[in-house]
Amino acid sequence: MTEKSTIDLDSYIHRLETSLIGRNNGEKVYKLIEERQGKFEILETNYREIEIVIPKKIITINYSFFSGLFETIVKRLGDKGFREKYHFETTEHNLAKVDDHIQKILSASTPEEILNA
Amino acid sequence: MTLQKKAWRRIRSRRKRKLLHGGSMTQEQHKKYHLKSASYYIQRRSRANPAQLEKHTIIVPQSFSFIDNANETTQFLRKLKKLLCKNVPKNLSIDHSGVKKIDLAASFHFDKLITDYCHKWRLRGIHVQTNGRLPQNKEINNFLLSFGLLEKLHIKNDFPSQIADQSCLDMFVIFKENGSRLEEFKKSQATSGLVDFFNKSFNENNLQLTEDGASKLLETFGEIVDNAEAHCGPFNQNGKWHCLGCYSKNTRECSFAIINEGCTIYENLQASDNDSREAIRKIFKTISSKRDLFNLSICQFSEEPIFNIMALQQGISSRRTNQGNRRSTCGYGMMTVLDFINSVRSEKKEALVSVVSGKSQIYVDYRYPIVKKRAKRGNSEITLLYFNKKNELDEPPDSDCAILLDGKYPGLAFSGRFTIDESYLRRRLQGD
Repeated sequence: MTEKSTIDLDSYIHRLETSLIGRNNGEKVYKLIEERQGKFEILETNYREIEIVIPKKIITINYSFFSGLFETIVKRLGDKGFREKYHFETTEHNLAKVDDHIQKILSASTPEEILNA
Repeated sequence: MTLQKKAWRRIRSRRKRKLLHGGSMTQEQHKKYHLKSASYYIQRRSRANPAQLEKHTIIVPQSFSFIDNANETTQFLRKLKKLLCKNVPKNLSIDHSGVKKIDLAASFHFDKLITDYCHKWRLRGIHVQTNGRLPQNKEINNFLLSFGLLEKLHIKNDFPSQIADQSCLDMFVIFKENGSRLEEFKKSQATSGLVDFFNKSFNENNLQLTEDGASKLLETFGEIVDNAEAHCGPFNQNGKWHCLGCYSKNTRECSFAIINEGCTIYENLQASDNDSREAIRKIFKTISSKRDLFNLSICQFSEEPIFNIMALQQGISSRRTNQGNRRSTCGYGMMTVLDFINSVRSEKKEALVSVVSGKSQIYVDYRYPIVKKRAKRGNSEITLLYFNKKNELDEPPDSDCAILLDGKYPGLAFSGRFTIDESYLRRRLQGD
């Protein structure tokens, strides 16, 4: 197993983008990464660690974008598994956002549960 | 050439001349003498002398607002659209004299219809003339000159000071941005611009958004703009979304609007294979069974306002589907924005938010509190807004909060306004 694979989001997003917004954009980046670097499942088995580099120009990463890109992976690996495998290289603010979003994905309720809360 | 043909040609040219001088004739004669349609001759006449064109007189409603008077405003805009799509050019006489209230979304739609109409005829070589009467309210004139129709029509501010302020452009902080699915990066720019606009509005009151607050706003407005883009209609139609912001330094009123034309909330919830639809339908059945038979409001009979109220709640979205793990978490934008306005609104002056989509308007005036609850499963925090005294989602909403409109608004207009009260916010900040 090789040590580390790096996914630099800078090469997958538009150069004018200053915040990562939108589920569709997140899903698009997911597909592009799989096309260029291979399926996430394969990357996970081939590498001990996957480093996600979010460029410093990105002010914030919103929940929709994050879940468009990582929702399936977070749900598949769970909190601990995801944090062990994926490491984020970004600003402190974005790191805190990533933590929040992981929690949100894992604790999301169904519409029925929400409306009957 | 036969004599018969010569005579036919002579009559044809006479008929043509008559049409060019403003005459009219039956369709049979148009056909018989191979003449072009009546609108063609009107356009030819107009090119030569636009002043001769007939005139449309447009009287703008007294309360021209998607927030305060959505029913009349949407009806007026629908009728205007129908009137302006006719294939005959007419000069426009726009009467704003009765206008006492105007908001961003209504002004934007109106301006767009008028400028698109002028542009359409300009492309055909006809310069449609516009004139009209100004409102009596100076503040509205200032708004029209810096943000509204007069600004769009590039009308210079040469008005006397009792009609409009000479420095009216400096009296507003303005933000406008639009985009479509073809320009994905625009979402990020529009959201940053909108947050920047809010920050500038607070700066005018010697306040500043914290880094964390700005980032939270960026995130939540991003969700709404993303939603607007996703519901702009089919990809090939290249539907547009618009983000607008206007802060008046005089009244300290901050207004915003996020608009997309295309699909309504109800259509989205009905069409897609989302798992919100069934949950809302169950709630609607419960609400219907609790109808107050002595005080029936029209909205209690209709599904649409109830669907729109539920779609406002955090985590409810047409984009939540049951297909595996994908897209199971959506619908976090609007409630967070409502929560933000709740936290910054002045306690003395009203803060209003309106969601107009399809045949319904949801009117939020913060008469009932925004409630944060823990879901039974998952332990996630959910933000809910109730629209009745009992604070229950499965009770009928107040009839003035969920309004059934007479006509359909094809899309979604999310607009709001609140007043920034520096001293109140400082007191709150110190208290916190």
